[in-house]
Amino acid sequence: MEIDKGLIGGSTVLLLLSLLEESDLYGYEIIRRLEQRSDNTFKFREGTLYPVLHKLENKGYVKSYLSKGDTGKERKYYKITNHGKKQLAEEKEKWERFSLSVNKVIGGGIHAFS
Amino acid sequence: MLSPKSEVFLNEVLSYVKFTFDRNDIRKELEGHISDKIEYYMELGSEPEEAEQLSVQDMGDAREIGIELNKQHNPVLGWIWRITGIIAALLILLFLFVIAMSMGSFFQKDLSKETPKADILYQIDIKEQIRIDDRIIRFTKVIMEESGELSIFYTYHNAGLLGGSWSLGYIGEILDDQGNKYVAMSGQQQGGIITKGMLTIPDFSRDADTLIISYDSYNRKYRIEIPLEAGETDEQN
Repeated sequence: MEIDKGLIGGSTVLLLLSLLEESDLYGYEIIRRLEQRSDNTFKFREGTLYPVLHKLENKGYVKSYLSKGDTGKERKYYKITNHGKKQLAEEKEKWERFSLSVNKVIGGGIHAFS
Repeated sequence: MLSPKSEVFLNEVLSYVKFTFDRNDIRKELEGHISDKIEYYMELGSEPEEAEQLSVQDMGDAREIGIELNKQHNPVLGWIWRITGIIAALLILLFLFVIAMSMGSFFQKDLSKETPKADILYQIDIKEQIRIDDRIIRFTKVIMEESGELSIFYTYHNAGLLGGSWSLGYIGEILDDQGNKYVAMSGQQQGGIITKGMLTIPDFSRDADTLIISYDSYNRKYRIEIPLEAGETDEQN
């Protein structure tokens, strides 16, 4: 299964902040991890990541800095802020409530028709 | 490093970003991403040209990305950001300057503490007070240093209600009993009503046993003689 996914959408903030909670990452790494974690379910339009990252930075959820990683290439890394961590907790809760509700509706339907 | 294909993509993205100051950073970031992806495809066995084409394709729609980036790089906010940055920097400089100035006067306030104790040959406390018109000058202390530097400490204030802010430049000629005249360096610290002052003579004669301060200007006169410990000093040396 492959879902074409633009990143300019609802659940992206949750995905990005949870990845950044684990470690500081630059854009390309974020895409690779998202693909790996989702078992290549998502086929990202990769460029759409950047407006979202910049939006997160404008909102103060992340901070960026330039650094030369192991490869010696200078990259723009993103780091989650305390504000971002709070937001992540909120987004997680929202997501759980949402998926729970969706499952209830679906589950309820299954029960109703079974 | 990147071929025209990537350039076309990047240029199209950036054409939507109106705040030109941010364009360079955005370009670098996207360029980095594309070249990482090219390496990835080449490791999988693609030819460079194919790798680049796939990489650019994977980025998505340049127009969509450009429009969304422009929303995050708003010119009005961008300019406000830049200007507040400049203002903040100026305020910090001003703040540091003020701090530095007040530190400076803080050090000056403790005129008498500038001389480390070890360097003091002897110190004479004096209580000489003179008055010129409404101005009262009190000589408080004379310090002789090992180096031959002599410092005279005094305070002064105005007895009258008016003219409290007049500063005193000249308190008299500095002489000694040997007939030497000295040029003194002076320091002053305004401290409200009473002002502290200090005169320093870099190389005061060690033979002199009396310090004389003599004032004679505008028909006003005074003369103070302060006995020094010259004799003992010579013996010690």
